[in-house]
Amino acid sequence: MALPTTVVAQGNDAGHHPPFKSSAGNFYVVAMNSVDDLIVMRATDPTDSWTESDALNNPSGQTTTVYSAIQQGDLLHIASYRDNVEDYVYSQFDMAGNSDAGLWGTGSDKEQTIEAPTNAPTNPWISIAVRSDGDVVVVYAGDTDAVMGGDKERVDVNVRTSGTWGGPTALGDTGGTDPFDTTDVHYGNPNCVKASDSDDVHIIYAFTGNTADPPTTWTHGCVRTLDSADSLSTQVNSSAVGVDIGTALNGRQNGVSFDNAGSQVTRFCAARAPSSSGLGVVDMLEEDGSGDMSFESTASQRWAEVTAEVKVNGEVGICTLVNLGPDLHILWSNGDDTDDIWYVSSTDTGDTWSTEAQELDAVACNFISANIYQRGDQLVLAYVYDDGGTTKYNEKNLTTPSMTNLDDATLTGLVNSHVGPFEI
Amino acid sequence: MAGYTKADYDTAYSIRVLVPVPGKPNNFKRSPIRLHYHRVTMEATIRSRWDRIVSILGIASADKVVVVGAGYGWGVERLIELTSCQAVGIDISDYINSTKDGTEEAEIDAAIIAAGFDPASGHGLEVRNVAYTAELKSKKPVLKNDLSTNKARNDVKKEFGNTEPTWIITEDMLTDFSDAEIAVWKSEAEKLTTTKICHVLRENYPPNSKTAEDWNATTGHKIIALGSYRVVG
Repeated sequence: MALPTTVVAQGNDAGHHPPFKSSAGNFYVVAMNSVDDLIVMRATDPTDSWTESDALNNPSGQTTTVYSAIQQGDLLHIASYRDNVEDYVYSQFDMAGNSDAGLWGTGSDKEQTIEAPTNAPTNPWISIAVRSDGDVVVVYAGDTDAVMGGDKERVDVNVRTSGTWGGPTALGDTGGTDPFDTTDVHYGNPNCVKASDSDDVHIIYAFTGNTADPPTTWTHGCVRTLDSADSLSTQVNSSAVGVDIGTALNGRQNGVSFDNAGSQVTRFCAARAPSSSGLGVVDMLEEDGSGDMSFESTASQRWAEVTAEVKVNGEVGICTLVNLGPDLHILWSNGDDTDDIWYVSSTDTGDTWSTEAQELDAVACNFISANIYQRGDQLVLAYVYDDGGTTKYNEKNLTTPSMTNLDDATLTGLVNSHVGPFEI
Repeated sequence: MAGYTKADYDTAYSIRVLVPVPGKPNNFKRSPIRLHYHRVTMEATIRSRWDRIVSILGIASADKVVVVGAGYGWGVERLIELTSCQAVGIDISDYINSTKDGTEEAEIDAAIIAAGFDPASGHGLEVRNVAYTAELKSKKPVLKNDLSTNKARNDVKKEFGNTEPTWIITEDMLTDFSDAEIAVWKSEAEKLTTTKICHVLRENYPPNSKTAEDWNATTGHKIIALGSYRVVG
């Protein structure tokens, strides 16, 4: 068979959950079945066929609306929101071995409650990172507050240590008098990524003083870092430059963090707005000298724009970002082109970009999430996407002529030079 | 129209208490305990709001300001701190007027207990220590008044040495009125002929309701939209 292949005849959904490769050389996709339960699909050859793994033990009864997954060795850490229960839960899936038996986690490693908000967020969202010691960090749209009768959206960070969640710590509102810090504001759409050189976790989320319920637009981005001791840095706001994602309430998607000439940089992709003038953006964050992230010091470099429209599915931006060292790769659903999948890249951390080009024609892309790994002798940008209600898998070959005939160790080193959703 | 009851306030304001984490000055745990219209949850927000209102309206020490829908008068406190003007709050809520001269202790303890905690120990005490001070709910005068009668207006004028206020500012209140109620209130309030009137309110809330321009057209008064602090009129 040839690519693209059908992973499962069921739509995919919000969150960052790209394809993964196991140490045994198999390929996995966290997907949903016809009743919106989480499942894991497996292929030995992703150009051929996919089958469900450990079908008897998947988390069930979920009505999942958003989920994010990340790999640590052969272990997948998955965080999801169950719309029918209105809670966030955590699950594990072990990709080790070729057996289909006993791969979902058990006990507290399966459907473990992260938090059950008393007042459900209007636009659920969760993003996940995992540290070198196995601690899991999630940021999510949390329990809402109410001010003058209207719900106020909130974002929280929560850390799983030794199998136990520590409880929500507030991002954003901490009850001060600064306009960014009062009770009568909204926060939302949080995303996180682990630093490539430490167990710090960099976090970005959206803010607005808009009093509508739910808010009609975000106006600013906010950045914080959770260090390895779980201390938060001071919130940094994009007030000076208005780096915002506009009216797409879950427009911002995944991020990457990598070393650039001795300094950490972080990039998050986002769909700015759902209108015909909507643009895609890449938030450009840099280390502030203390290991914490801040917006780029040069105002003109604080975000990069993709000039074609990045489609929004409901409130969710349809785009994904992967890095390989300083090289950035973005795939998105182009609303200017009947939602076909388009691609753009940068070889200088996002300062300049290639010419945007259509990557895949004749699709109705409602979701996309990507990874980079070696398959055979090729280095590939692998992605899953929703094509009109069917989850599919495809690849873009990143192997350059200089990469041909390289030995496995060299290719592995190239892949290992980045930190995204894939770690070896 | 009737003023808010305690139940109305508890429904309208429901905020998880933020508990500082020792040794981590930027970390605040979100307690499962919710408080309502209390200083720990709303005072900072209201003070921040009045910082903006004072700046926008250019209120100065010579001004005499009546804040309508003042609640416990935390906005009045901040207004006086910033400008040294004369100011008084008014509110028609029986709940506000019956509790304003007391402390928040009983309500805080009740909220802690309602969430399943003991105010005297553990997390309940931790929240109590964050939330409770011995301060009175109102530290500035709040009258039970809505300016809708001659006596009501005269009572307010007495606060300013029997002179009319220079400003009437309604605070997050107008959206609770029907258009008919607004028309009646407007006609009465404008009998204070030398007084400027401004409404601080939430536009587009509830959804698809009036914009600041709509409110300006309805009242003929200056409108400040909360959140954006957009000014119309």
